[in-house]
Amino acid sequence: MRNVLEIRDLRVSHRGKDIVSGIDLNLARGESLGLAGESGCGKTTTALAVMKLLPEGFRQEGSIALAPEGSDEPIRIDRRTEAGMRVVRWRHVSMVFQGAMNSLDPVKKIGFQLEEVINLHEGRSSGARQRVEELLDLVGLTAAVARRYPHQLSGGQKQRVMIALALACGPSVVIADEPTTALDVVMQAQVLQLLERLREELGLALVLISHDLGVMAETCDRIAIMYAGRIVETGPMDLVISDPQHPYTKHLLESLPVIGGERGLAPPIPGGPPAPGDPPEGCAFRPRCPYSDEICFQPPDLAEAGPDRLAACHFSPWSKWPVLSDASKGANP
Amino acid sequence: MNARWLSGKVAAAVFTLLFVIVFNFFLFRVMGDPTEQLARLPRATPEEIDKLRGQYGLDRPLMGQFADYMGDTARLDLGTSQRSRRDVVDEIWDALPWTLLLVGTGTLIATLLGTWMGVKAATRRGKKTDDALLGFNLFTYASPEYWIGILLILVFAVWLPILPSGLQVTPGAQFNSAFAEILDVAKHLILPATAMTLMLLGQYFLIMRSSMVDILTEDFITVKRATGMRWDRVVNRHAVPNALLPLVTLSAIQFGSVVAGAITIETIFSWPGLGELTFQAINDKDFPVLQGTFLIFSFGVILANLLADCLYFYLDPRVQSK
Repeated sequence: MRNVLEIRDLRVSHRGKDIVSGIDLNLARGESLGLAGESGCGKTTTALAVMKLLPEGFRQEGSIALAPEGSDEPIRIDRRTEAGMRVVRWRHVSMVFQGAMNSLDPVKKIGFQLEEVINLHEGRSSGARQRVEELLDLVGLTAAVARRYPHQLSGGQKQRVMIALALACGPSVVIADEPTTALDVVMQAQVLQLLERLREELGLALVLISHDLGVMAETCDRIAIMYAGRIVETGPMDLVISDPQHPYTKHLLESLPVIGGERGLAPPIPGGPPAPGDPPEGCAFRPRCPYSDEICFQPPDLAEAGPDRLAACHFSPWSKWPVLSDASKGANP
Repeated sequence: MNARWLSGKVAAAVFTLLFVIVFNFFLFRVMGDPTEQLARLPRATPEEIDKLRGQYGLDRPLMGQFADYMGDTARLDLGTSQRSRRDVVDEIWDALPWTLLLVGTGTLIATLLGTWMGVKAATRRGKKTDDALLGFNLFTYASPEYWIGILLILVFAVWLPILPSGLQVTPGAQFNSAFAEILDVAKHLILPATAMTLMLLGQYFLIMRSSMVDILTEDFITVKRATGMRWDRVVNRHAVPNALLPLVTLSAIQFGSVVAGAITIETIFSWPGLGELTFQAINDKDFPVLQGTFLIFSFGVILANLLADCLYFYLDPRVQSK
């Protein structure tokens, strides 16, 4: 297996409704992949499926294969039992969670919580304490933080601890699920730079989940855009940004504010995303798409749309986006 | 432990106790003239009543009586029982160990069992174990303690006469050894302690269960699971210590109801503790004893709250830095 992580036809359903409806994802060694999309499109669900941490009542199908450095045979996560997953989690794939504020046990010291995980995977040894200091140093915290309780740290410090925790057992893949949403702008930039630096230094593969394309453009090599439980466009970051091949991607990019550009609100995407598990017939973006046509009632395939690129739009590759008059811009019925 | 924090808490407790002592004095003045009860001899003449008033200092001005009362209380002189003519302090001193034994045993078992069942139910939420535990605990929680007590006597002392129905030792029994005596007391303790446990169990269970259910939805629980930790370790090392926090506070607040329960249960089982002493004193309108037991109960509740604060301080690091 060339890639460190390969997801094939992943489906996650809840009470018979598809939350994630058949996605393929590849993650090369040392690569950073951005997974973008609006709230409720299935980004976090995909991440939890990789960890096999979906709450009760969720069903996952499809193959997830993980090939950590030096392993002969890829680990088939989809075939692992709960007990079998315990040795895969954190050892090979770890996660930085969304809510930095509540991700640590409030009544245990930071050092204890880090050591606990190291001991869990590497057996009890005297090296754990030393390793905690190294990890804290790695994420730019002093060794004294180990003796603190979570409430004594700032949001940024807590998120750094969470990153240190994610790196504690030297995983091949780190999934960062909106790691900066709870932080202020300055902290956001610092945490992202830290993630990017660590990825390069440690040769990790990183999946960065966010709804913020601006954040991703700075850190990711490749991007996958999700909409209503499917991937609608994927490709190298710079190409996707400069020449989007799906109307949804185009809209996401246009909704970013431009520094030095015109004052005022960025144009929103008309309408709202469909409820999870309940997409409209045909192309899920059709009701919000200004370019939609009769053909869009047929579901589009994720097809080649340029070198190393895929897009799920009947009209792709778009050589030139048609200019819309103001009157026709907006949601089609 | 932070000395300043502790001294603040102790000062608050002492102040509360002082308030109770003052309140106790006026409470019993409001309840009527004690000589009415003292002079129960039929056809007591007004002269005799006046004489009694003089004896007890009840003819003195209220503030003078109050000063006497405060002075006596400070010297731990709580007066004389009108029924037994013994010092109230001695009466309380005799009854206290029995109450401590009963309340201590009941509370200990109820806390351990209730907490354990709460954890089990919360981790199996919505499943049959949860339903069964919830049903059982709601039943005991809703049952009045006198009913439970009578039912226990009926089943284990009348129908299956395997346990004594009351008292703390077999009357008139001679024991060859201390061990035999302890065994006899233990045998007498089983039923009242069970009643006490069943009375308290429900609330510990319900609080622990809901607290655990809350904690188990917290982000850090998912994080711990994601690190590959065994579920039972996540529960025991991370969820339980957090879920115990509200239990500590609530059990201190609930300590007052423990006292109320002790009065009922001790009376039913003729257990010679403070509860029975109180009940007897109420029946006999024995004001000095009542005043004494009120004081010791208040002291118990205040002490329980102080201990809960200290325990909370130890359990929750977030309190320590404030």
